[in-house]
Amino acid sequence: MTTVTFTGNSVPLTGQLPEINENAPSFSLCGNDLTDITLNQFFGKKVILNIFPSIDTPVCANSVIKFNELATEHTDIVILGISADLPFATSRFNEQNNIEHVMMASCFRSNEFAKDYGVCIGEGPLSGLTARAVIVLNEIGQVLYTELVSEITDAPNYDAALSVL
Amino acid sequence: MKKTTLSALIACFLSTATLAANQFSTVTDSAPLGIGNTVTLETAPLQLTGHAVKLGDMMPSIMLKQNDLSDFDTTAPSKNIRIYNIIASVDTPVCDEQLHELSDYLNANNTSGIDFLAVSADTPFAQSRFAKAAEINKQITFLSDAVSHSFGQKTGTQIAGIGLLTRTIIVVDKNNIIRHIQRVPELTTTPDLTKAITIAKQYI
Repeated sequence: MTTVTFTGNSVPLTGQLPEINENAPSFSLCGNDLTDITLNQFFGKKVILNIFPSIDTPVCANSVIKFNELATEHTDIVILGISADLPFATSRFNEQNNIEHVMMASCFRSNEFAKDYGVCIGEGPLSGLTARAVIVLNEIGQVLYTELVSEITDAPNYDAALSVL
Repeated sequence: MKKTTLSALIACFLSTATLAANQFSTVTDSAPLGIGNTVTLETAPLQLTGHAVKLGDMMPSIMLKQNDLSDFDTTAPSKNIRIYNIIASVDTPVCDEQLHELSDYLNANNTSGIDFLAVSADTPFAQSRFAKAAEINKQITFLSDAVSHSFGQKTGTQIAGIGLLTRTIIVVDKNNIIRHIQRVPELTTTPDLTKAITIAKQYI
């Protein structure tokens, strides 16, 4: 079983991150306007999945702000911010922080996405939320890059993720 | 889910910026919980799901998360009466108003012997951020059902397909028996807090 840590304490995860060169599992998430967001709709563009526990924590908030900045240099990619936050929370965040280039996608309705992508926290203080990970997909949904952040309170490696674009 | 329903949801819930205080009416009506029943969102009927609790039932055992990420067991022994304020999301205007109403009540009244709980599908982090920013009275304990939506399923307060809870007040006595339920038939109205507190006081 894959484990990460949260402030040093072990957090077991359900499932496995997708492997490099594999097809990423399909998903259906909930957008800020409450419409469905599916992987299929992004075919033809590279996609960064920025997965985190909750937008209402500083590291997660910073990751969205950082990716939003980086997106201005990479206008041909799609960046999704994925968490179990309600769309109302992520909508509020995007408005307050002028986030225009990170599309929020909530997995709050079921843990299917979290399990399929190996980021499902099943027990402990953060149970029901997603671990921190960055996954980059190519134009046909194949995995180019993955990082599962080993300590949940650490930021992901932005440069490494962008280097595969 | 139909587009019209979605539009209604969006229109109702996401336009927080334009809302003035106290614009939603408090109602005394109550409608049944659980599968087979509907709650309206203005014109749109939304199906409920889950097992309906009723008066005289024991509150089912449900594990929720408090804002400090510790577990909260609904069946843990309590010396106090518990009033569950079940809401859709702290980031929606009706819930915001409902919690301010409760907070104002607690600021002005002595309610010893009663625990006030606010349950929603928000993450504990979102609830915590809201409670601080809105200066909500600290007597209100926020509980997150984000873990597995089991609160909605086990009480019949779940809105099917949407993943949110329907607005309800449930009063539970010291023996964990449900003494009062008001589930508002229309999501943009708020339940009768005063009535719930009056009933709760009978069981202190």
